[in-house]
This record gives sequence, C-alpha cells and structure tokens, in this order.
Amino acid sequence: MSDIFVKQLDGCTYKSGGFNCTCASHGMWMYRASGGTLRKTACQVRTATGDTSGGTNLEQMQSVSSHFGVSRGTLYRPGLFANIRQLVLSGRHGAHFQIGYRLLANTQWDCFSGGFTGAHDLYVAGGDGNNAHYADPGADGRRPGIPNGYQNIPWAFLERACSALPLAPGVTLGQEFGSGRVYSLVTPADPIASGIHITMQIDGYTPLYYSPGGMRDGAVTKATYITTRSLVDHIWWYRIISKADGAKTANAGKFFKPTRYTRPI
Amino acid sequence: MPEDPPYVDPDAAPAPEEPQAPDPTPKTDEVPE
Repeated sequence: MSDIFVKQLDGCTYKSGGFNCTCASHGMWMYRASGGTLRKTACQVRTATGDTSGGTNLEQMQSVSSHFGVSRGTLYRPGLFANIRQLVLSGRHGAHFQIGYRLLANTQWDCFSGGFTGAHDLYVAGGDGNNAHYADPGADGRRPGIPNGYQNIPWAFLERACSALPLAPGVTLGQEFGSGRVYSLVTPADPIASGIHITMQIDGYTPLYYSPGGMRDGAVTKATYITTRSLVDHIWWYRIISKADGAKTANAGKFFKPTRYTRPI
Repeated sequence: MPEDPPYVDPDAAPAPEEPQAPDPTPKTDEVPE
C-alpha cells in the first residue's frame, strides 16, 4: 500500500495550520485506510471537525473518518508500544502516534528549528526492525534544514518520544501509565490482494466504493475493467486497475463487489 | 430463540490492552512556522 505526505502548514483559514498536525496526519491515515482513494488536506480534515479551538485529538479523527465514510480504526488509549509497532511492521497498518516533541527538538528530525517542545502527532506508515518510517506533518522543507517528507527514526527513540507526550502540566504519558505505551489510532488492515488480474465485465447498475465496505463513490452501468480482488469479511471485492485495454480510467482505485451484472471474462 | 452472536468488526485490529484512560487523548499543541 502506498502512502502520501500531507503537510499541516497549508494556509488554512478555517484554523491556522500550526494547530493542525493531527489533521494532516489524518489525511495520510485516511488515504491508507481508504485503499488510496480518499485524499484530504489538513485544512479539509480540520474543517470536518467543526472545531476551531486549539489543536485536535484522536477521538475527533475517528469522527472525521465516519464523516468521510472510512473505517474509524482502532484507538489505543494508550496501547503497548511494542504491540502497535508489530501491527505497523506487518505491513498492513498505518497509525497516528502522539508524541512529546521535547525529545525531537534540535535533532535531525526536528521540523520546527528548536522552537517547539509540546504535544505533536505523527503518521507512521511502516518500518523495519530498527526504524519507523514516518511523516511529521511539519516536514515540508519550507526552509533549509527542515526535513522534507517521510523520515526514518529508531523505534526506541520514538518510543521515548511517545512516553514524553505531555498530558497536563508536569505530567507525561509515561509518568501516568508507565513506560512503553503510546496513544495511537491504527488503520484497519490493508486488504490482501490476490495479485492476479481479473477482467470483469459490468452490464448493469453496479455501485462503486472508496474502500471495501466503505463509502459509496458513484456507480457504473456498462464497463469492462482489469481488476484485482481481495476477500474482505467473506465478500470478494474487486479493485479497478484500468480499462480492459489497459487505458487509464477515472475509476481506478475504486472498488465494487459482485452483483448480478458483473462477471469475469 | 438463540441470541445472535456478537458482531465483530472485521476491520478491527486486536483489542486495546488495559488500562484505558478515562479521559480523551490530549489535543496537540500549536507549532511555530
């Protein structure tokens, strides 16, 4: 599953981008959770919260997911860092990680030139045994020396940053719950595609979806597509790759499930 | 009549571990540009 980068400092007028790290991360999170079909800016996510006061939290992001018709994911409040790392390392999950930026300030990963030490949100897309592969919503390369896009950070260091999340003045997550924990919102598992291309003919009204079981996104009545299929909750879902002749289609990436009008050819 | 089995969200990751905080997750802070 591919991931995108969404920056927080996007000129949002609904609420200044300085407050929208969680919203930017959620743009990346929803792209992953929707199978790469739903693209939202930090400002669009922020607007969907209906909240113009301060920063945002993970519960608000679950409501935004529902608003856009994608899974609400699983909220860990907190979860064991080691378990969530394993979910990410499975290659089938992305996740919000809330951190205390105090540990990242003035390091190679710092996106705010040493001027920020508060509560922040990252999107972790993957990793390996040593490092997490993640996006800091501030990593937009807006000045020399500021990271640009995804970075790698040692898991052990990220774990300490998660423990340093400030919950109240003078109280961190680690002090409240013990070390090795993180506030995290994890995407649903990416579907396992069969890898086999199936040509599907559609001869009648067939709804399309952003993701298997997700929000409706139009319909087609007559088309022939090359697809891959995935078994999700005992239903085979077909993901459109291209038209039958290999040409691009605006419906690429969308899903449909079998109807009486669909058949393999 | 037997009761329906409990519905399990197929998208759900494994259940969160205890303890769970009684309060919502914190709102993040404003970053400088």
